[in-house]
Amino acid sequence: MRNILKLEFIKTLGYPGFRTIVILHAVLFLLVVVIGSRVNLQFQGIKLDILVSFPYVWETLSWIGSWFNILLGILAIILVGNEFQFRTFRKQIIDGVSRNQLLNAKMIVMATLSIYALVLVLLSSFLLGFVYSDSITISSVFEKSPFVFVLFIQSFAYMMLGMLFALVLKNNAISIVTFILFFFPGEPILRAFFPDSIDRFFPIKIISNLTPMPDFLGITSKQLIQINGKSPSFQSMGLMPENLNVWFAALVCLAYIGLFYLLSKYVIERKNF
Amino acid sequence: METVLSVNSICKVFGSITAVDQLSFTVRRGDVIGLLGPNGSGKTTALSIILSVINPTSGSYTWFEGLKGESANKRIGALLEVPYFYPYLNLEKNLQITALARGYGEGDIQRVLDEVGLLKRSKSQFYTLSLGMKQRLAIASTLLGEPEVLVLDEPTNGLDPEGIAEVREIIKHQASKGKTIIMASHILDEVEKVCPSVIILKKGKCIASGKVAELLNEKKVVLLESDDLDLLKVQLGQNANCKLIGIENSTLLVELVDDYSPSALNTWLIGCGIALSRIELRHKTLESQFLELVGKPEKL
Repeated sequence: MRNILKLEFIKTLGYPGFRTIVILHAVLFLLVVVIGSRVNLQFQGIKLDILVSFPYVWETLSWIGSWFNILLGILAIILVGNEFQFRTFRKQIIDGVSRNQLLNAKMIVMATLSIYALVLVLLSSFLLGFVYSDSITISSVFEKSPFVFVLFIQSFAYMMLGMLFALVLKNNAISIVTFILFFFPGEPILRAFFPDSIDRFFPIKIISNLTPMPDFLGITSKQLIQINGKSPSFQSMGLMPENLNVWFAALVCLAYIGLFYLLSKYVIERKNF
Repeated sequence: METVLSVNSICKVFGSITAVDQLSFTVRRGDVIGLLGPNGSGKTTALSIILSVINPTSGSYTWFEGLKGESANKRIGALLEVPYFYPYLNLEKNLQITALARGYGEGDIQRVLDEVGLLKRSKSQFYTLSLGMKQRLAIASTLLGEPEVLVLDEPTNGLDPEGIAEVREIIKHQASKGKTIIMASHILDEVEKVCPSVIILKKGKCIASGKVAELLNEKKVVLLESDDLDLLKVQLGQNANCKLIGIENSTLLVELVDDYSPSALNTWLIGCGIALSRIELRHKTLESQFLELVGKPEKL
């Protein structure tokens, strides 16, 4: 497997499209973070800086990071689709790589990309947190930090789904369009036929809800506005649905990752190359 | 002698098309075998099955008396159809990928590039190569690490006459080292010059197999003309040493058995009271015999 990984990284790192998309991903994320943190909006009783200070910075940057995870999903499609376009999966099978090894090597590349996305958000959160926090304590720094790890699960799940699309459709353009259309409006239309209790377990919904939009109203007004002894929030005002517990949702996402893996394995083992 | 490959009744059906139909054959160590057949006869599909690239509909095969799939493929240098490489990587990196996939041959890259005349282009990206160069690179990748078996599908595709001759020499050189070679081609000349044995395929079925010389021995054909063509035809029908195989205008094409000479035929016809106005010996080419076997119209 060491050889297979080595060859996987030679072809992945040597691909100009890979380098371009990863750089684009990092630059876009950092641009949004830098510009977002410099916005100086003043509302009576509301401080926006709190969103990028500890511990809320973890939630905020995980949410922003999730905007770009779809790019990683598309990158996974391109990396798998290229193998069909160049017919190099076929060549590697001829050279003695098993179908399982082809799949596992791609999954390791995707896991590496998820670690990269995690590290990017982790470092940015630390940096911004230390710059914008008024008082820094160990508990305030790490209180919501585990939140960032669900970003790993989310990006990996998107990439696994992207890989499954590419394995089934074998064509980059068709896979990317189908993947995006599945995000919207495909799954949302499908969800409309189901009650809320089932709807929230659909793959795209539950994966994207791993990093929900932070409750800006609740966070920014926490120490300033009290209504009936409670901070207002989008959810208490009925503006946002109640989300599943994030760790429960993460477990469901891991189950989806397992399902995507099994389906990919089924497809690759039966495919004629 | 050790059996390198044993193929038992493999079939591959694509929808309503049976690409390979009950194909069986055995290859022993050191054999150099040609899979010969016209386009669409199932050569590439058969090779794709034995290289685990596509799954057979039925039947089985084993390499090296019991191996199959990746463990067998690691011991085989194979070129299937056109060359498949990463267009954005240079030749060295592409060969490194092949060597890593096989688990050996990383130190052999410069040698094989030199052998196919591409050493100077080792740092060029694959997409910058001509079709002939791509084909040479594919052959280089099969030679990496000196695998014990070579499977070559149309290895001279896209090559100029000089390239074809070079590739033929490379294959002959590999055969002289005792390697087992299975080569598929639709060009009889290519197979005949390299492979002592052939398997001839037609519509996915094996229609003949054996030594090239035995299957496609050059037969004597004579062209006969006479003032009374009808009488000539009737008389020829009574001679077991010859067989009427065609008529071109007012000329009869007659195939003679091995030891029957044109002069013997002429003497016999004179004895029957028929005077020939023309008798001309022609050799029936291997090509025409091959076309006859696979069912194409014969041309002399």
